[in-house]
Amino acid sequence: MTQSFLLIFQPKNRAGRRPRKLVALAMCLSLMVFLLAACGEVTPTDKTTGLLINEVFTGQASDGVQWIELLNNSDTDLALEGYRLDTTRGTLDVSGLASANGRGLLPKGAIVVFSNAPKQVNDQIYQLLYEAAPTDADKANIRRPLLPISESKIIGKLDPNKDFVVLKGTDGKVVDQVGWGGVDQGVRASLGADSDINTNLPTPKYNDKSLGRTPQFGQRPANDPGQINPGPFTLHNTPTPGTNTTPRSLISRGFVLNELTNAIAAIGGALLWVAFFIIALVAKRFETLSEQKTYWQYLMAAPAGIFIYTVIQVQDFVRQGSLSDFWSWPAFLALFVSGVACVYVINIFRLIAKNILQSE
Amino acid sequence: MVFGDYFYNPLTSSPALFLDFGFLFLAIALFWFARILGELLEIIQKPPLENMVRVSGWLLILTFSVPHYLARAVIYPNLTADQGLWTWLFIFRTFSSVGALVAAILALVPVYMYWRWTSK
Repeated sequence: MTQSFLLIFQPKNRAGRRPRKLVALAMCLSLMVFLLAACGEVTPTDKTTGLLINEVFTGQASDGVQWIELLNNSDTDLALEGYRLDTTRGTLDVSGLASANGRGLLPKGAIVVFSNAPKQVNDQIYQLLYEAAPTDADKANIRRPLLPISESKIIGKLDPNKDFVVLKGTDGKVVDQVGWGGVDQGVRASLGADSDINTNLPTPKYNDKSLGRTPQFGQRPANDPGQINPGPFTLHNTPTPGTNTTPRSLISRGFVLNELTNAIAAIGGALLWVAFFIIALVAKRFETLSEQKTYWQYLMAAPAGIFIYTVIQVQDFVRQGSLSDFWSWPAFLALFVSGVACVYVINIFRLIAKNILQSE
Repeated sequence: MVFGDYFYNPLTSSPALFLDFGFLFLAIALFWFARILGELLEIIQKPPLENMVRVSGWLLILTFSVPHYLARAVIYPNLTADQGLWTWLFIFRTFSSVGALVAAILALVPVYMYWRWTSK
């Protein structure tokens, strides 16, 4: 085995240079660091664990139905006393408006929607979300009423083409902000916004679009505030006022995209494992012929993770139709370990076989 | 990062990255085995079936690792913003599964053939 280790971890090649693979690896790591750095901050304060602007709907016309959604992404109930929304149209004091639980507090993880509509707005969107909600509890959550604001100078007056909304805290400092259409820096400064974060987003000037935060990992875990990881604002093709759940597809997957795909995935995993298993048998035969060790036992054990991955997949396919988040951890980890092990042992086999074939 | 209407998360989630890199490593293992198989097939004077193993490795990367990464980095984070992306998620999943099946067959056939030829 010592010889095999030496074969793999040669620090320099014959020309006395570092292998090119190391350079490629360093480049990949550099690219990943660059991508990480490019993720950047998503609020002016770089904090996403407090009260946030979560979604803004302006509609097509400035005198139609509009709403602004706030999210309490902290792990405590939040008193909204002293918070206010500043826009180019004026100021909206949100104190008392968000007394969702009757105590003037916005519960942790809760969402509040300020709208100029007296009742629920945009029935089509509500119906869309309602039908696609995974559980009855989610459906009840989606039916949460909006908080109507009468005689508002802001909600219902926002310019769909170009406007700016600033959320300020109790100390008057900017907590969050969102702007679209390229509002002038002077206007932004007059509202107290001195950061460029979320200042020039695409205009949500459509009746079926909104500007909303997109969770960084695609998940909005209910009742788990502080873990929602709100990402940057994007133009949403599905406005979701008053909900923090991920609606499921309204389109039926059908036989091909569901059962057949599950069967194909399971058969593919099993055949891949068989292929690596036979590679071990080939190594065993090579050992018999050459009378030199090929470590075929390790080759046989290495792809076990592929088998485990396939078994877990089949188990979840049968039980619930798709791989669950819980079981994806052991399944994917087993496959990863198997991949690393296969690369390692096949490289040993490759180098041993190469030496034997060259000597003969 | 935001591209057009969609948010892109390069890190996706840890389990998803494990799967992507796992299949990437399996593809590298197949590439390295193809080199050995090529020489072994040459010795027994059989057709160069090792190219099928190479294609299998590329299929694992191009039809499984890359689409799965894109699905987790682009489609999955935007599901809350666009319900229409569910359809793409299903299509990517089917595409990846078919790619993995074809890759497995392409890896299995030459290995099995060599094993069978040397059994005689």
